[in-house]
This record gives sequence, C-alpha cells and structure tokens, in this order.
Amino acid sequence: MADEPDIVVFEGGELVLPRRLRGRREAVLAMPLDRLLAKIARVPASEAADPVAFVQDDMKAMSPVPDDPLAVTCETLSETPDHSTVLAVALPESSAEDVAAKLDEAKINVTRIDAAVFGYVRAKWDEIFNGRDGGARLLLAGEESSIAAIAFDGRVPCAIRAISRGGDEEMRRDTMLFLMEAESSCGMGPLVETVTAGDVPAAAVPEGAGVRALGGDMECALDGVAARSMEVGTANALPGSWREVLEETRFKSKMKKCLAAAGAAWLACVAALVAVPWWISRETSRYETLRAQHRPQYRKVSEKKSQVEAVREVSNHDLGALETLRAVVSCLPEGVELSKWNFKRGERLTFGGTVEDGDRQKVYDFKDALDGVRLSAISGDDDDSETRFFTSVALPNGVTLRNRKAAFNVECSFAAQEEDY
Amino acid sequence: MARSLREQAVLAALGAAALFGLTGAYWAIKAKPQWADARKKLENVKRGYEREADMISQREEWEERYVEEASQIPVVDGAQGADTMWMRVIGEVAKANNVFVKELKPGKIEPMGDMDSVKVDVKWDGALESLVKFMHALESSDEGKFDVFALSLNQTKKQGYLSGSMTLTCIFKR
Repeated sequence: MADEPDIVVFEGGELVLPRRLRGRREAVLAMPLDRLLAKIARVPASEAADPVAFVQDDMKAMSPVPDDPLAVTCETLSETPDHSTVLAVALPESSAEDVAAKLDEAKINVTRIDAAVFGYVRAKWDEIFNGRDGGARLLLAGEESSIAAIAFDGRVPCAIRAISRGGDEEMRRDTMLFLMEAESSCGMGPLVETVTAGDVPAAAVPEGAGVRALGGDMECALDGVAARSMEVGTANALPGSWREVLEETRFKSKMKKCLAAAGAAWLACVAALVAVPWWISRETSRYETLRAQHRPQYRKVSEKKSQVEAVREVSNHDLGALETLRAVVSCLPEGVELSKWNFKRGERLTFGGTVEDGDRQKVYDFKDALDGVRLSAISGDDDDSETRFFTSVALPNGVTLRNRKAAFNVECSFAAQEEDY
Repeated sequence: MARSLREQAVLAALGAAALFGLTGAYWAIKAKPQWADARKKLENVKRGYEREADMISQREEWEERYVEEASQIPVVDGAQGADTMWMRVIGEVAKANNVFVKELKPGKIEPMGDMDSVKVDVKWDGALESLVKFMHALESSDEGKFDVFALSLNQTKKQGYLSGSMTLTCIFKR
C-alpha cells in the first residue's frame, strides 16, 4: 500500500501544515478554489481522446495572464456515449508566485496541486446527496476569501465557480449568474437543495430551495485530498515549471544519496586497507609474544627430545655399520669381491669391488639386489617391509674392465629412520 | 558556465569511478602483495607457535622416554677420565676379537643434558670376520653405549686382511 502523502494548505496567503511533515520535504498542496482556474466542460465523444486540447482555449481565456503557458489537467467526472463531463483545472504560474515563494521558504516540494473543496466533496460525497440522487443541487463551501460553488445535476457536477466574498448584493448576483450558467451549460433543472459547508453568508444562498448545512472541517477536506492523490485520473494542477523543479530536486536527492553511498563504500574500502594489515600485524605480534612466553618451556622439552633421539640413534643399530655390511654381503654374488668401503651413519655408503671373470651382469644383478633390500630383513619388524634399506643405489662410473676383471663402484644413500614413538 | 544536472551526475560518476579505480590500483599493486607477505608471516609464526605448544603438551611423554632411555646408559665414576676409560674398553674388545688397533684418538666430550657423548677415532687392521666380531661386541657391550658412526676399509696386500678406520660414538652418564 502506498504511503499516504503529506498535505499542506495555502490559506490566507500563508502555508499551513496541518500535520507535521513526516521527515519528507514533498507534499500535496491544497489550494482555495479562487486561486485556481476551474471549469466543468462537456467534451464531445469525438474529442474525448484529448479533453485538454478541447478546453485549452477556454482555460486560457479564464487566465489573468492569457499569454502565460498554462498546464491544464482534466479529470473525467462522467461519461455517456455522446459526451464526457470533464473537470479542467489549472494554476497560472505568474499568479502563484507568492505561493512558490512560501514553498521555497518552507523548503517544500509540491508533487500535486488540488483544490481543498475537491477533497471536501470526495470526503462528504454521500452526505452531500443524503440518499437523494435526483434533481439539481448546489454546494456552497466557505473558504477564506471566497465561496466555492459546485452545481450538481443529479450526482454529476456540472458547473464550478469561486464566488468572491463581497457585499450581499454582489454575492447574491454572482450566485444567480452561476446558477443560470449551470442551467444553460448542462441543462440543470430547478434547484432542489442548497448544501452549505463552513462559513457561507446567507446572501450567497439562493432562495426558493431548501438549505442544509454539512459539518466537517479542514481535516476531512485534507483526508479527501489525500485520497484523491492516491487515485488514478484525478486532476493535478501542478504547473510545468514546478514539475521540472520537482524532478530536478528528486534527481539531486538521488544523486546525493548515490554519492553518499559511494563515499561510504569508498571509506569502507579505505578502512579495510588500513584495518586488514593492522589486524594481521596485531595477530602476528600476539603469536610472537606467546612464543616468547613459552620458549623456555619449549627449549626444555626440545632438549629432552634431542637427548632421547641421540640415545636412540646410538642404541638403534638397524641402519648401523654392521647391519649395512650384513645387507650388502647378503646380496653379494659368487665371484664378486669388495675392495673398499666407506660408511657414514645416516648419510651414505660407497664401496668398490671387482668381478673375477669380468661378468658385468653379476654387477647389475648385485645392484638390483641391493635396491630390493627391505628394512624388515634387517630389523625383523614386519612394519618395515615396505621401507627400502637404501633410498638409492647407483653405479656412478658403470662397470669397467681391467685386466679381465670387471671393476665397479657403488653409491648408496639411506632413508631417514622413522622413530616408533 | 553552470553545468546541467545530467553533466554534474556524469562528472560525479566519473569522479567516483576514478577514486575507486585509484584505490583498486593501489590495492592491487601495493597493498595486496604486502597483505600476502604479512599473512604468510602470520601463518609461519602461528604454525611455529602451534608446533611449540604441541611439543610442550608432550613434555611428560618425553620425560618418560628420557628416563626409559637413560636407564640403559652406563654410569661412569665421576673421578675417572671418561676418554681413558673408553680407550681401555675399546682396546680390550679389539684384542679379544683379533683386531689390531693402530691408533685411538678420543674427541671432545660433548654434554647432552645430564649425559655426555664422545667420539673416538680408531685406526685398525684385521680380517673381515674379526672386524665384524669386534663391531658386534662393541654394540652389545655392557660397559658402554657404543655405535659405529663411520667405517672405512680397504684391502691390504695380505690376502684376506683389511685396514681402515672407524669413528665410534659413546654415550655415558657420570
């Protein structure tokens, strides 16, 4: 459901804010009828597509400054196959400068302009007719400097005029003229009833028909204006230049919001550029401090561990010199003699030898056999069955023949021994 | 010349885009690599801390293991010079297994908490079988915790006779 608009009233030359604007600076302006140009016209069906063009000239003729551009708005009151009854409303810009000045002073942007009396009629519609639809009826609504007069033929408004408050004779004459105009323009019959609202002098009330006073005040008129502003097809007398100002103001407001959002996003990015490295640095310092605090304890445990490992290295002979010798000798083929040996625990083994009959294949078989030695063969632990005793076995110089003997050198490296902790 | 609203909006949008672009460029060129380095450093420090904390949590286990291992380490009379003792033991075992020790050279005694470690360099001659028995006897000796740290040997002119050197590691408690 759309938000109900704020309403401001222009009355007695001043802007009245009947209800506090709810933080917004946009509002609907309710004007007295005598500040607007208003006419009810019968538009033939052939002109019904563009009623504004039909009434434009008549409205300009009504304007105090006919040469001024006039934004005429139309509202269809009733339709028949032959014609439409249309309410045409306009606000001459040059005669609304005082209103514009008051609005600028209050920093209010107007989204719609309506007549307060239209709101009153909307709010009091059923009460105006009081269950009686037929006949001609005159509504006289008292405003600050005039009396809004609306003639109804049945339930259809057929004429509208603002009667100036003046002398009694003047008002009586204006009312008569108005009724005659209504009779001639829309064929309104004899007056059945006059309905008054607000302060209506007796001189303005025509004689001969019943008079009924309606209650209601500004509040119900404003409710009616608010209801009309939310309906489609109701008249909006907002001048063209005021509409442009409104759009411009809205655009500027959007732009400010976008720039503010972009500014906030940019500041957030900058904040992240500052905050992230700060946080990382803070966390790093925190961990460094924690490490410094527990370092003495860590050193003690680390030393203890080193001592245990040192003892175990000396105690665990699985990859020791004797076991390495045993592993190599277990693979030694017939006719192969070892002539030199160089072993360093946990690092490397290099040895050299000769084959009596010069058979190179024996060397290759010997190398393959060394590759296949598993730690479990030495340690006796089945868990070591997949672990190679030597991580690599190589013949760096190949096999050379010398004095009908095949000479070779082998280089082996050891895996880091896993501790069974 | 006063700019129209639309022009102002376009300029503002371009300005905002330029500001974001510059900020993005700064981040991509300077800040991002700095962040990556800083994060890497933090991860290293954090990992180190966690590793050390884990080690500290195992303190009791390592104490127990140490006690268990240390119980197997021989105790040397504090009044005795440790190097001469090991030289004597090595010499006796060599003699018992027909290995001729040409030279015995003890290294510096290295403290390891409440234990000590010493490396002894040995130059020897002997048959392969004698050498194997000698090494086995040392490794199974009750008088010391020995390990053959390095071993090198070569054939001599005498058939079946080898010559070489070895480095023995010995751990003990006083």
